Amino acid sequence: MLASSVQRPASASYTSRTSSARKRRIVAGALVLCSLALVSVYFREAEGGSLHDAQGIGATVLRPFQVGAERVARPFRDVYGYFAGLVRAKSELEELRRDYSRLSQQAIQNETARQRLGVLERLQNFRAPPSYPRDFRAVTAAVVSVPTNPYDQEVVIEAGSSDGIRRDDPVLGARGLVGRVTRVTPHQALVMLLTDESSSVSATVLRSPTGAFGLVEPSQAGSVTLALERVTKAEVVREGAIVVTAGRRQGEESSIYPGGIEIGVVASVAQNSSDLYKRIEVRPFADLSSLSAAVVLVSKRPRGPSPK
Amino acid sequence: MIVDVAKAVAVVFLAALLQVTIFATIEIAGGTPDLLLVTLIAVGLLRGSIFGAIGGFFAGLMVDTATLGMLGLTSLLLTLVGYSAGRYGETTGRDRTHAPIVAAVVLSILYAFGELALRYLLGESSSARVLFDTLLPGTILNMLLVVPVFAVCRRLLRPFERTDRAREVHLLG
Repeated sequence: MLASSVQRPASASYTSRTSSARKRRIVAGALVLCSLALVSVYFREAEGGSLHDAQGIGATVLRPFQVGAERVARPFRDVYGYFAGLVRAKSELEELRRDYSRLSQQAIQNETARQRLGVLERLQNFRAPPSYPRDFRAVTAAVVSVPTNPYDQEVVIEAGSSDGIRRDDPVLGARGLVGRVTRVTPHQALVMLLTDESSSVSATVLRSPTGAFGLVEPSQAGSVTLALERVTKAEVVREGAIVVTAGRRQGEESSIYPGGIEIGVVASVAQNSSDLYKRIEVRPFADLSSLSAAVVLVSKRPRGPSPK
Repeated sequence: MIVDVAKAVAVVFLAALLQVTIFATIEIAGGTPDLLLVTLIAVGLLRGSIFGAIGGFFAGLMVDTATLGMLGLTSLLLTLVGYSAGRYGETTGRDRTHAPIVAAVVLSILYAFGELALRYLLGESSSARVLFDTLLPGTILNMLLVVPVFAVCRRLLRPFERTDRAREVHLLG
């Protein structure tokens, strides 16, 4: 008798217990089915579908709460950033002094070259593609939502179609390219980061004697570093070289980014006999893991369909 | 009862909001604490499986809406988390002091694997490597977070009524 399970005599309560269990299962089952239905419909419907629209309205409703929470959190983030910055400040100062002296000289040379180029373009009646930053208007927006899981490399920003933002507009951080707009609602936009597995940017390496050209893609899932792919072994790429957007197509990859936007710096270059291409690791300038604001480049020119 | 529901709704809403705006940006040793998950576990343990499942569904819907993610994906996972936490609280986990920690560890792991599996089934970009890189630190952070979160939730939400308790006794000898 001992150590055995004994039911209390509960003839009246048995019915209520079974009905409670049934109710519990019905509620859970209904919610699971409802979730599955939402996933199925959302997955199949086009971007202008009713669920997408409803989600856009929902996001607009939640926007004030997100902005409020973000504002409350900002002072705490700033304090953390201040102390974290102090640790790195001394070494950064030395580095910046060296950079300043080198870049001052380079700026003079660039200005001279730019003037010469302008004269040549006018003489040849050269039709240039949209030039960054001249042909773009910058829309700066706070990041109101960051990926809630390690797989999504997308953020939501506090500006949308009402600010002139369109799908595929390039997005910059405090320094360097961050990604591009993949979805727009009237007041918010979804930005796919460079570290997203489906991201690919045609890029070129500055000061490469051979003019190395390739595609910047995420180096590996979950990593904040990038890789410059499809650079042949014949190209010369050195560590420390700056990688910028190429502003042109490579194969089927239509470039939606204007040329000359900084992406990052070459962190390492390797190659082996079995590979067709070099293995180039790129450290992005933008801190993609903790973005608090982003700049969307809205083209001043009307955008037409690209020729196939 | 209505006050109790309102409190639970407010707690889950606040947790979802904080998760989307603040907690998702925090990275410690490669892991990210999931305030919403541990709050749902606490609510489920305290208020039962139905409460947990409904809370999970709407919290997931809110997360998917705020992040413009795939609608229903997080809802599905959090519904199951809330329901499982509730069932654990109604049965073997009742009145056990370690129940929130056990639930946080087990459900964090199951949630991570469930998310990976669902994404894989839907053809979304997902990587098992990411899961294994973030699973251990994330689970430890959730384990640490669930203790204060459970204490706060217990103060806010009423414990079970006497009549809700099990009608089964176990004689020891």
